[in-house]
Amino acid sequence: MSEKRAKKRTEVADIDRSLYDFKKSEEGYERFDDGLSADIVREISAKKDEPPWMLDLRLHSLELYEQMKMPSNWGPSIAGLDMKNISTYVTSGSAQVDSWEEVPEDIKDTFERLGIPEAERESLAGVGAQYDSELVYHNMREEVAELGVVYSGIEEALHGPYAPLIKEHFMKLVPPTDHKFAALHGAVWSGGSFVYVPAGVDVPFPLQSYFRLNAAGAGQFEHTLIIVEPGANVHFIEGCSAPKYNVANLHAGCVELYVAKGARLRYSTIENWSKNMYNLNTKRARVEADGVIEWISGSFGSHVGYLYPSSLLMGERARCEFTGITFAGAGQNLDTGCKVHMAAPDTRASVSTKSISKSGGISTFRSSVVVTPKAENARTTVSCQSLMLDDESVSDTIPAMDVRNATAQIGHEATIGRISDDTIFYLMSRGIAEEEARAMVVNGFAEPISKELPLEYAVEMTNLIKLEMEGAIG
Amino acid sequence: MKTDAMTTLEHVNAAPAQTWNWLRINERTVEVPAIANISNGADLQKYASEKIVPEFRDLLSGAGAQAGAWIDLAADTVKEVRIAAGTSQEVLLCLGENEHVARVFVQVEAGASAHICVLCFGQNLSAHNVRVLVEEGAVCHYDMLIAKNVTGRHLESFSARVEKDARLQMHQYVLGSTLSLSGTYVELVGDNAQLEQVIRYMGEGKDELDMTSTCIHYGKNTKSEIVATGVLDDEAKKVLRATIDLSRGCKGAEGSENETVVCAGKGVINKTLPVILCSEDDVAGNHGATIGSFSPEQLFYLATRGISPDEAIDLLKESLLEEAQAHLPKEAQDYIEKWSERG
Amino acid sequence: MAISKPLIDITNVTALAGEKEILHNVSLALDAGTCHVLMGPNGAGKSTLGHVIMADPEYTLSSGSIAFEGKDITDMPTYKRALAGIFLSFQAPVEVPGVPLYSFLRTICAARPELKMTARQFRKHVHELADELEMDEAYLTRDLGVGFSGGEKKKVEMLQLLLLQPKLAILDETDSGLDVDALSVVSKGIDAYRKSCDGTLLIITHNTRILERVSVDRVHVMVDGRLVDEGNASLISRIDAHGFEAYTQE
Repeated sequence: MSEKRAKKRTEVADIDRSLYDFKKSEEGYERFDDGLSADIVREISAKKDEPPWMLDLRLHSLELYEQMKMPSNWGPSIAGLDMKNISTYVTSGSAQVDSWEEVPEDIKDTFERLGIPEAERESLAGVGAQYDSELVYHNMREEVAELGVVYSGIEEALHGPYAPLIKEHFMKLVPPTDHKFAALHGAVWSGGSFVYVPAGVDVPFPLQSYFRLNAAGAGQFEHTLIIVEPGANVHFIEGCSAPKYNVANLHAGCVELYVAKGARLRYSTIENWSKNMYNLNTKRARVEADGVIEWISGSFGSHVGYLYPSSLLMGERARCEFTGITFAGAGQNLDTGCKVHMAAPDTRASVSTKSISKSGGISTFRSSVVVTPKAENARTTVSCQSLMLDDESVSDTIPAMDVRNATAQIGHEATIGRISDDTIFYLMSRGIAEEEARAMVVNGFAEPISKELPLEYAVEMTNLIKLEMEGAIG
Repeated sequence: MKTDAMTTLEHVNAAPAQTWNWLRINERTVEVPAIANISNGADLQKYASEKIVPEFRDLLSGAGAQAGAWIDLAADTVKEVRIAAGTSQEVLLCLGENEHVARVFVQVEAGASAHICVLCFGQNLSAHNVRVLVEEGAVCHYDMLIAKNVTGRHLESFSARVEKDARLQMHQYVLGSTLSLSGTYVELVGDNAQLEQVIRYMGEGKDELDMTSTCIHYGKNTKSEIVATGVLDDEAKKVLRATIDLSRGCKGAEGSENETVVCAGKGVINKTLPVILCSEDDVAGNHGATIGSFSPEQLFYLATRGISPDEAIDLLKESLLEEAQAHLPKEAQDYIEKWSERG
Repeated sequence: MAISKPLIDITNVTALAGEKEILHNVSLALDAGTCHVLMGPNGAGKSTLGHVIMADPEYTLSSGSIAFEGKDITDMPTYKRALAGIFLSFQAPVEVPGVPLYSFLRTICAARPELKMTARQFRKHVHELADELEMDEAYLTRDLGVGFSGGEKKKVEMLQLLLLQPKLAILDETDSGLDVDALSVVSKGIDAYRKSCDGTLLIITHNTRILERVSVDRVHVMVDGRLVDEGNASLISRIDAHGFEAYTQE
């Protein structure tokens, strides 16, 4: 019976990256020497004409990076990543513009193939596009700008009226001491977006930043800072991709989100880095009273990934909703999950994740829920489901809970398994062919995540998870 | 072993798959009296290996290598028991009166049946390292009680290898003491091997409970079920790491773990790390954890039967003692009665 | 009509769930030793009345009073009402991990001085009751409600009814979803309860099959949180035939 079953196993295709896997020439680009040194850090800072505090932060971060170690007792190996072979700064040299017409042809073609200008026309309030280390395009609809919303390159903002605000918030939520790659980010960060939504403003369409790493053997270290003032509401989408190279690439971005009283921020990510990418990204949100952070997180790419968006619920009734999906295929070791820190009364968190492992892929769900003594009546539910598509892959679930308030209620449930024969039988008994039934189950498994995404991204995700059925009709 | 020098045992009760170290949940250290000439925990293992009955040498110690080695070396009580095929035998160990540290090897031969019971009543430090081989078709019951004791510290280490069609049933009652450590490790190596593990715990005052339970599925159609239920009051601290590892090849295996903790005291610290590791697709694994106080629905239900909200926690504690009493042999029952009277 | 005071006297009770008024000015008096049925369409507030009698904190009383054996219990907490002799069976009993059924039964018994028995007597009694309800004794050592089927949970409720012998038993039965086995468990429980003591029953249901074997004294009809009709047992067959349309159209 089980052998027969094994033969009939549904084939879920590897992620189709042909759409993303195209390279552009780097000719004429400015590329800093591989490796890391105080000189390189100074050079980056000088190039950006930064205030002295930023250079201090960079140099301090570099020192920390050199002292800090990766944990030895958990997490995927990053032995294949050697900073000596990574260039921390690569730029085409083209200035940031606000019209696609002015973007150099090669780069414009890249973003067109990724569908960014089209999406901007149809459904976005603003777009930022980063190519390697620098932003090449940033634009926002006029009517949104009129609401007082700021959406610009973060470096640009550092030279404008919002400079004091940036100084007040920059790497305060994710200090360089946080972990080794946060320190690296502090030293060599470049590019990224700044969003400011004034009190009470409801941004009608999402803002999107897209990060493309074209250069081989390079690192991308963009910094995203979003401040949502009391009662405001915004949806931010982050996309990323890269062509595949035979050398390691590194992404160590940092996202800091400040959600004020009664504000709401939805942060969606479709991460589709190529399979030579080490993705060591840090995302954190601080949420004040009655504020809401919603994370939608799809992890499809990268060779190695460490990604745990974290939510600090600091004000009463602050809420966090985390919805995530991770697809680990051949050659991928994706360690993803989230952290929730509940530090105020009546805070709420709900975490729902799915993971799919196939063709030797390793998927680990890792989470922490910390309830401090102050968090009276805190409530959290965590639910994670893992689907194993073959017997070569790995799916681990490692959730930790630390509860220090007796009035809190924490519920956790997780299941691991394969597509159930009963489900297939049930569907077949209603007249659905077996292959179709299996496809239905896998799509249904991912559906709770895709339905949270804007339509075109949901379509992209469904395309990413392609099903190929053995013996499919036709 | 009476000496003022101390040794720090490291990696005690370590979870096999670990996580962020800032959570301080992965493992712990324990201070124990040093054994002559050996000040370093890691060195203990070298000296301890000769104390291990050869058939048991490749079976890990439940509480970790250093803790296991220390117990093996410090043991004032040694039991090596072989239960012949088809026969049945009880193995009883009472620690705390005259015996303090025990090293126990039990080989349950094919089709035999064993009932191992370890009762820990100590006022001071006591420890046991029990290793069991449950051979084909054999059945082993393991009951363990760490009695409530304000001054006691106890270190439990239990490990077992369960062969084809064999079954291991464990009932552990950890009723709170200055420090109660319990580390168990079970390998389901044979097809259809089964583990049922029930952990009941209670912490009051400044009790500290640190428990690790690991079950590895190797055989086909193996089954494990770990159920932990506990109540924490006052400023009790507790860690439970439960890991089910569905390793490649264990087709048809099912593993489940579930923990329910009721927290009553203002100063309670509860840490839970319920891990499932899975390298096989034809399996079912699930885990659940519920941490918190009684829900309003539970409290209302209990109240409709005449139990006030204040009494609900007592009901849990009493139930725990009662269940321990019902499960354990007479020695334990007498002890619990004595303790209850002392109130 | 009754010369003596009723066992329970609910007077002009208006109850809210949060902001929403569920029961409007409900009055109902039950004499000791009688059997009543409370019928009504889904969502009429029948179960709410049962829960209000038991002081479920989900509901607040905005007006009215409840007296039991002549004593005002309006402000009495739930567990005291239970100890005074009121029992409410649940449609969906909760699960209490960590508390084996047997320990639970012993505890609720020990809380009632009138049920004083030795450990041996208690054990024997519980096993007899389990037999009577055809309940597998293995359940006695399991945690309350954990992993029990619907039918088993029902048996556990009936077992408690028979063990506690309350003066007033309110049986809150689902209007649908009871299978044949569960039905027979409930009828068996009602039978045994009526035989063993001079108890008073309030059966909340519109599933008339439960009532086939019970001799009913009065039937009350609730619609939209109001008691709209009352009559003798013949009302049951009338409602069985015509439903509640007559009341809802008014």
